Formats: sequence, C-alpha cells, structure tokens
Amino acid sequence: MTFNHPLTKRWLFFLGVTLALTLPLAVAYFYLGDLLTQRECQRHQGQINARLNIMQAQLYDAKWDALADTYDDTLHLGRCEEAKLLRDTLRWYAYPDGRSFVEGIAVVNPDGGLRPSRLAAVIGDDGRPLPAERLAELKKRTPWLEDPWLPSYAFVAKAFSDDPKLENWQSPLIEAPGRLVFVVASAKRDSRGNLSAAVILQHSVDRLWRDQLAPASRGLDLWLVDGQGTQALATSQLAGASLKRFVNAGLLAKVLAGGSQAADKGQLGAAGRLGQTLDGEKLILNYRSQNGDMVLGVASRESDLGAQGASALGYLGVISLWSLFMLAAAGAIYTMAALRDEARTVEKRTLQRYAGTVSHRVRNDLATVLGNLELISRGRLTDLEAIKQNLDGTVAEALADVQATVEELERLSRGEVELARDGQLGSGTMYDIAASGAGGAKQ
Amino acid sequence: MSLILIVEDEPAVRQTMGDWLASENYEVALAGSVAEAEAWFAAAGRPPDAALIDIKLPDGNGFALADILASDHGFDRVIFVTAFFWEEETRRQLAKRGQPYFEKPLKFHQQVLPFLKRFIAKKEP
Repeated sequence: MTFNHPLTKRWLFFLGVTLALTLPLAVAYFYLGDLLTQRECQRHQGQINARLNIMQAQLYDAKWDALADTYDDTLHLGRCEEAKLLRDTLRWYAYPDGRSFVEGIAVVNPDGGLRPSRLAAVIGDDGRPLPAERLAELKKRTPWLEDPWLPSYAFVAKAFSDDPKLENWQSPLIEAPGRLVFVVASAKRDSRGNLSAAVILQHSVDRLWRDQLAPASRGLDLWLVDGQGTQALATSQLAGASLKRFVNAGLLAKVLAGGSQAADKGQLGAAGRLGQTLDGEKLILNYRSQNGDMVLGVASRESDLGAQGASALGYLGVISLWSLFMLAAAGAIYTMAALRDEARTVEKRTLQRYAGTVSHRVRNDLATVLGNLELISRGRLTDLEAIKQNLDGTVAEALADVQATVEELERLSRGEVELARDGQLGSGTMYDIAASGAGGAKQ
Repeated sequence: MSLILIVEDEPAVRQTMGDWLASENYEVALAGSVAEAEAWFAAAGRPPDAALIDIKLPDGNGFALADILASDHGFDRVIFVTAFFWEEETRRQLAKRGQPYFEKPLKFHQQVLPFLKRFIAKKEP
C-alpha cells in the first residue's frame, strides 16, 4: 500500500484528526494536572498546618497552664494553706482516668523528695475515693495509679539550683515504669535566692497524647520529641523514620533555639517546613515547637500530597484516552465504510463505462456488417469481385473485432484481465465524452 | 449530384457509409477526423449538401466540428451519427442542439436514404 492509496490517505486523515484532538487534550491534561496538583498540595499543606497549629497551641497551653498552676501554688508554700494545699492537690489531681492530663501535683523538697511521698487517696470526679473494684480495674492499665511519682525529683532541685534565676521549668522526658512522663515545675526561693521548694505537675506523655494531640492528629504521620532527642511518640513507621532523620541532621537544637526566641516574642514557638528524603522517597516535614522544649512534626509523602487532585486527573486522563480511542475507532469504521461504498461506486462506474465501450465497438462493427449486407441484399453491390473485396476487407475486420470483443469479455469473466478504474481494458478502447467538455477525445 | 461529407474515424464504417451513398449516386467525400474535415472544407470548391458527422472523433468531437463549420463556413447541414447514444451526455447534447442524428448501426435503406433525400430537398429552392 502506497502513500497515495485511498485507504492510506483516508486513514491518515483520521489519524491526523485524532492527533489534532489529542494535542489540546494533552495540553489540557498537563495544565489541569499541574493546577490540580498544585492546588491540592496547597490545600493539603494548609490542612496539615492548621492541625499542627492547633496541636502547637494545645502543647503551649499544657505547659503554661501547668506553670500557672504550679506558680500559684508556690505562693501558698510556707503558709498555713500549705498543709491544705498538699492534702487537696494530692488528693484532687491524682486521678489518671479523669479528663485532665495532669498525672499529679506535688511539692518537691530541695533534696528531691516529695512532701509527702505518697498519695492520700485516688478520687474520682465526684471528689470521693474511687470504689475498690473501679480502682482495681484502673490499676490493670495504670499500675502506678496509687503511686505515680518517680523515685526522686532531685533533677528538679538541680535544675533550679543550677540556675538561680530560673523560676519555671519543664523537664525533658523521663522514663517512668510503664510510661514516659515530664515535669513542669515552679520554684519557691528564699530571700537569698536559694531553692526552698518546688511545686511540680507531672504529665504523662500518653495522657498528653490522648487528651491534647490525638483529636487533631487523625491520619497524620506525627512525631513528638523532647529537647534531648527522646522520642515522645511517633504515630507510624514513617513518622519514626522522619524523626530519626530530623534528629540525626542536627536540626533539633536549631529548631528549639528558634522556638525559644519565638517564645521570648510571645509566640507559641517555632514553625517551619523542610524536605526530607527517605529511601529515595521525598517527604515534606512540617514542624512546630512547644517554645524551646519539644518539637512536633508531621511527615507527608510528596506523592501523597495532592493525591486527590492526581486521582481526579487520572479519571480525566482515562476519560480522555477513552474518548480518543472511541474517536479513532469511529474514524476507522467510517473510513472502512466510506472506502467500501467508494469501491462499490467505482466498480459500478467502471463496469458502466466498459459496457459502453463494448457497445460502441460492437455497434460500429454492426454498422459495417449490416451496411454491407444491406448493400448486397438491396442489390447495390452486384459485382462479385467488389462483394468479395468488401467481405474480405471491412466486413471481415468488423467480424474479427466482434470476435476479439467476445474473447475480451471471456478473458474478463475468467479474471485473466482487470478493468482499469476508468473502464478501460488495455488502451485505446474508451471514449470519454466528459473529458473534453461537450464532446470527447479518444483516449 | 449532391455532395455528402462523411466524417467518421472507423475506416470500415466510413467505407461502408461511402459505398452506400455512392450506390445511391451521391458524390461522397471522406474524412477520418476533425482536422481532415476542416482541411477538406478549406480546400473544397463548394460546401457539401449534407455532412454525416460521427460524434466521437480522435481529435475532438462532432459537436465541436459542427460549431466550427457553422462559425467559419456558415455551414449547418449536419446530421450526427453515434454509437454512444447510451451515454447521458451525448443524449443531452443532441437534445440541446436539436439537430438530426442516427444511431449506429445505421439502417441505410429504411432510414438514412429517405431522410437524406428529404433533408437535401429542403435546402433546394
């Protein structure tokens, strides 16, 4: 099949049309893809940032609420309210299954010991001691329930003693039996600035997570780390890996320093975004700090960002491809049908013209034969020699042409020869009146 | 004696037509193409009394030749002859021109000679 073949030309036409439609579709696909992905990424990032901001505010509140409480309580120390304070706080705050994240409040002596060292009771929301069955049930999950305290709080006393100007402090994470805790403390100093006592609130990370962070963290790969690089929590393997990379890259100290500066300006802490690569996969890490104490991070796979847009784009692509495929198929069907119709028309026209050619030849031959017969029968030709001459000449030629025509038809019927599209069999057998206007020339 | 010009590209047909008309005491002139017919007209001392012109000719067609003869020589005594009456275009041209014609094969005794006598007689005063 050559380029000029009608099938080729028609098929190329439809191919061209299909390709011409493909171009704007492809441009639209990529443009929309970019648009959708960008917008979806921005929307996704916006959601993550909004949730991170909420969690940062929760962390901030947790710290400063505790500091406010402990600072207030330092004002009661050494006064008549101290005994009541100790009794009430120890009783009141120590209910780990309550709505509060507070695990316990206590007064720490400069030697690090608690005053007193044990809880008086575990009470519920109604202020009454928990029933024994309820207490036993809770102790299955929290065995430290009746005694949540660490063996020593010398680290609190040391922190305040090391920095005579330090009034409030949040400890790093501390491994306690069955859980991680941290302590928020306010110092009570004498007139010379020496530490006389400290009021502490002890938080468990587990409770912090459940009460403050979990509600806003659904579906996020979230991690929390303290200032010493101790992992408070990581909600997934990806979050854990991201945290490890963050700490190993030495970013923790920088972010916490930024958080402290932000806190000095009255802000919640540091906020930022950076890229990470994990096993060849690109991650986006959005982080917030709790002042200069802890850092909260959310890791997102770059491929997941804008996934909804990519999904919509995928649908668009599939629909476009199907449309093009259907168009090409329709084009192919139409082309084949048109070619078949054209072939039928050409075949019909070819046969018509060839039949005309045969008719022309035979009519001319008949004109010669019948004309001579009429000459003889009407006695116009009486000379035998002249008759013989005509019979051997024009009549014989005409009859020979009739015979040739018949043989030509037979060869055609046997398929030994093919008709040309213009109805010719060989050359010089066809007149075409349309070829030269009103009349025609012998081709 | 009436002079008849026969313009026909098929030699056998041309010869047979010439024999017929000669046997009827017509003076006959033969041409095988448009060019030969034009050359004959240019050289002839007088126009023919009638011209039997085949419509399909190798260098043109009978209609065009008739137009040339009419415009160049004021000759309009044309009778067309054709084996292509089956063709729509030929029939349309013949109907449009309104000039006489014969379909091949010719029936000399029954059609051609009687018509020719009347055709030539109409011309004479």
